Amino acid sequence: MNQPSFATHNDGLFATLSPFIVATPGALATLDPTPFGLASRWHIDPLVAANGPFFRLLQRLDQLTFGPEGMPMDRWVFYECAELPGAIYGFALPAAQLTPDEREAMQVPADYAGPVPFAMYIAIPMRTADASVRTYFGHNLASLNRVFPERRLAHLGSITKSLALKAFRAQRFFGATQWSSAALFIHTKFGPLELETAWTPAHSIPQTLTYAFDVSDESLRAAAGDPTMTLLRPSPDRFVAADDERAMQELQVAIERGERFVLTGAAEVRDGRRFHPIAVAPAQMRV
Amino acid sequence: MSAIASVLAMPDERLVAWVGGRAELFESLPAEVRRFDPRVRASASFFDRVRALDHRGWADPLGRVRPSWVFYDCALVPGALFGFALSDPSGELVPVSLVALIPTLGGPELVQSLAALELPDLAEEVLAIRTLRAAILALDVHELLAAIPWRSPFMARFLAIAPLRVHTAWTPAHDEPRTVTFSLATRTSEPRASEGQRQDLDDAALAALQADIEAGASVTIVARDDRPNIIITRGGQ
Repeated sequence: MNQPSFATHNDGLFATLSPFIVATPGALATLDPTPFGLASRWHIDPLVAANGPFFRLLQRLDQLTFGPEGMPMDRWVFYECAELPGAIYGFALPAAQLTPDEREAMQVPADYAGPVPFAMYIAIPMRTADASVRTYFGHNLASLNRVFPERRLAHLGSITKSLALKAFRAQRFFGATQWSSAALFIHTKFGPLELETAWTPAHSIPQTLTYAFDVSDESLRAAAGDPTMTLLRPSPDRFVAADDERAMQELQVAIERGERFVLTGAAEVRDGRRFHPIAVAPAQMRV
Repeated sequence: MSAIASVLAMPDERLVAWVGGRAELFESLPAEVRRFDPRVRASASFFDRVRALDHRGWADPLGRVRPSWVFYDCALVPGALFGFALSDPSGELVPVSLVALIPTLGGPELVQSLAALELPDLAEEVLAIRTLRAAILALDVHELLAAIPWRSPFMARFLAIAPLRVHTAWTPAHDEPRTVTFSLATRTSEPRASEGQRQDLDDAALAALQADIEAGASVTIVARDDRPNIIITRGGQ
């Protein structure tokens, strides 16, 4: 079976789903088509007109993942903020293998026989002062794990992000998400997250944190569930509640003063509120 | 006067150059260029005005609704912004032009926005082109990539720099399939073709051109007028 070179949280995924990469030919040449030994089955070129239906399915995947309350993306956003500048890595199933309910939910055209995406991760390259470090900004992680529970796609999101960053040959990674996001725990699987912002009025949602981490095989394998990998995490010295705007702003003031912090791991839930563990960044961390 | 300083020197001396993005990207720029870092709270109100400029001068004319999170995630943090601004009576800087660029894996810098306002003594198109030229120099850009509708007058802003190599002529991956994706070398000294053929802009003609490109044809846009008549040249297939 085509699967990664290490055990993941859910190796059963690979019996059902196969990887795809969306990239222009120029971008594809810079990527690893077999991250951790997992061969990609489909390459989707956004510059080829016949691939149009696949991009409608990506948009549908985004809609189903985030729902009407999310931050849905028009196709031009996909094109100009993902497919042209960066790449999309994900998992799909041939249309013929979908159930009628799945076809309906994904709005698969009756005459479509290509791959239907079940998960995707989008990242775009970043302008950096040091061009030798391949640095990305990730802005969309979508998965149908919760939409199709009978498929048993647990951990599909974190496995997709892990393999995507390997496929992208990422060395340094940035992202932005909300303190209240239910998906934040996925990002903390990659290790302590260095906080670039804790309160972000330049974003449409100021309760956004901007984070970064150095990408390593160890962090990617750990996030995907490799039981042989354990990431070092500093002990938290404070907590920020996901609804505590004052705490976010105080942390931001400290960051702008030059202090450095990390989000050490997943939130603790107490009395229905999420509390995020924070620590002063260890000296060796680059922030 | 240095090369950068000569480009930044605008006909209207009230204009000041500004850059937006992570501060460490701009250490080599002259001190007079104003810097705005999206990670710093104090920059937020300026970026609110930048977003308004982008909406008025780029996204809205192209029929695009740009969610504000997209500006942060797909321009401010990963890329670099350059523009010119004026001071309002209270001393606040008000951006009047904007270029937003992000790198691509394929090499060129993707233009996310190229907006300008009409000023009393400076035409919008002139300011937009001056801003693009300055951004190319200030941000050391060698190749640009952009995607706009075929009929958009914004095409002329790019043709002022160089001929446009067409990557897609019919683009179903985009909400507007009548989108042309093109790249241009910013520092080319090659002579521009003076003649070519007029490209029909109906759907069938664009789809046919796309088929030719996918079959290996090389297509370059060399001229455009206001009607618009778009002139292309074609190479080997």
